[in-house]
Amino acid sequence: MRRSLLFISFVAIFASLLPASEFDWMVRQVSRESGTEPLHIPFFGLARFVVAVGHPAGATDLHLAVFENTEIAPERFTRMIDSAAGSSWKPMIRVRSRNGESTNIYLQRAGKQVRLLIGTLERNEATLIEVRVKPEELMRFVDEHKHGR
Amino acid sequence: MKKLLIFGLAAAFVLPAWALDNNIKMPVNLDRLAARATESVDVTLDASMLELASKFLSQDDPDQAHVKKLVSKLKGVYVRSFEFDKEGQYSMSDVESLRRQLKAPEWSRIVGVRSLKGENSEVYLQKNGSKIGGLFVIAAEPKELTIVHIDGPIDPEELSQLGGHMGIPKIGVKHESAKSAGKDQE
Repeated sequence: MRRSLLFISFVAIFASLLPASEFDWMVRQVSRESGTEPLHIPFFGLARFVVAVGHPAGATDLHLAVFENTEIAPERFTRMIDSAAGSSWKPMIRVRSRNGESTNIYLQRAGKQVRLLIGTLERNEATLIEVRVKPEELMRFVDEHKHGR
Repeated sequence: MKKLLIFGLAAAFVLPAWALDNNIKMPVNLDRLAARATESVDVTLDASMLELASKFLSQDDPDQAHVKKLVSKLKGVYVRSFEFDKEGQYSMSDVESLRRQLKAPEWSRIVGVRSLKGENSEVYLQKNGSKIGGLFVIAAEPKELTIVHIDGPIDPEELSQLGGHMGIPKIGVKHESAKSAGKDQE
C-alpha cells in the first residue's frame, strides 16, 4: 500500500514537472476564447504515464481537456480550434450539425508516428484530445480484437 | 523597358505556377450551405494527408489492404456533404461554379442521371493523356448534396471499392424497377 502511494506520488510529481506542451498552449487559447477553465480530471497524470510506458494500442502520448458550460456556436468553435492548432496541424475532417455539435479532426506527422488532434463540441461541452500513435501498432491492435484473438 | 523586364520576369515565375495549379476550387457558397444544413461534412485529404490516413488502414484485412493500394496512387480526396431538413435549401446554381471548372477537353462528363424525384447525379472524368487523372462526382438529392473529388489515377470500377473509406460515401446500384422507371439517363 505504502509502495503504491509512493509510486502514485512519484507519477503525479513527474507529470507536474513536465514542460508546458503545445497542447497546453492550445488549451489556454481555447480557455481564453471560451471563458471557461478545463475540468480537473483525477488521476489523468497516471493515465498519461501508463500510456507513455505501456503504449496501449500503439498510443505513446495522450492529452485531454474538457470544458463544461461553454456556450459556443459550432462555427466559432471550429475557428477557435483552427486558430489554436495553427498551421502545423492539417484539418482532415470537419463535421458540423445545426443542433450545436461539431467535430474537427487534425493530423500531423511525427516521424514514424502520427499525432491526432480531435476537437469536439456537444451542446455545452467542448473536448480537446491529442493522441500520438503508431498507426501500424494501432491497426494490429484493431485486427487482433476484431477477430476476437 | 525596366518595367517590362520586371513584368516579364514576374510572369515567368507566376504563370507556370498558375498553369500547374489545376485543382478544382470549391466555391465559397458551399460554406454558406453548411450554415443551412442540419449536418455538413468536409473531408480534405491531400497527398501527404492521404499517406498518413492510409496508415490507419489494415494490411491484414484484404478489403482495406486493397483500398490502401488504391489510395497510394492518389493525390487527394475531397468530400463535401450537406444534409438538409427540408427541400429547397440549395439550388443547382450553388454547384454551378464547380461545373464551370469541369470543362472539356480536360474533363468529360461520363454519367448524367436525372430523376423526376429530383435525384440528380453527375460523374466527370479528368483525362491525363490516355489515363484517367481524376474523378468528380456531384450527387444531388432534394435534401442532400454530396460532392466528391478524387484527384489522381483511378479506375471508375475501383471507385465502389473506395466507398465507405476516406469519407467517400458507399456507392451501390439499386435494381428496383419502380425507381428506374422515373429516371431518364442522359
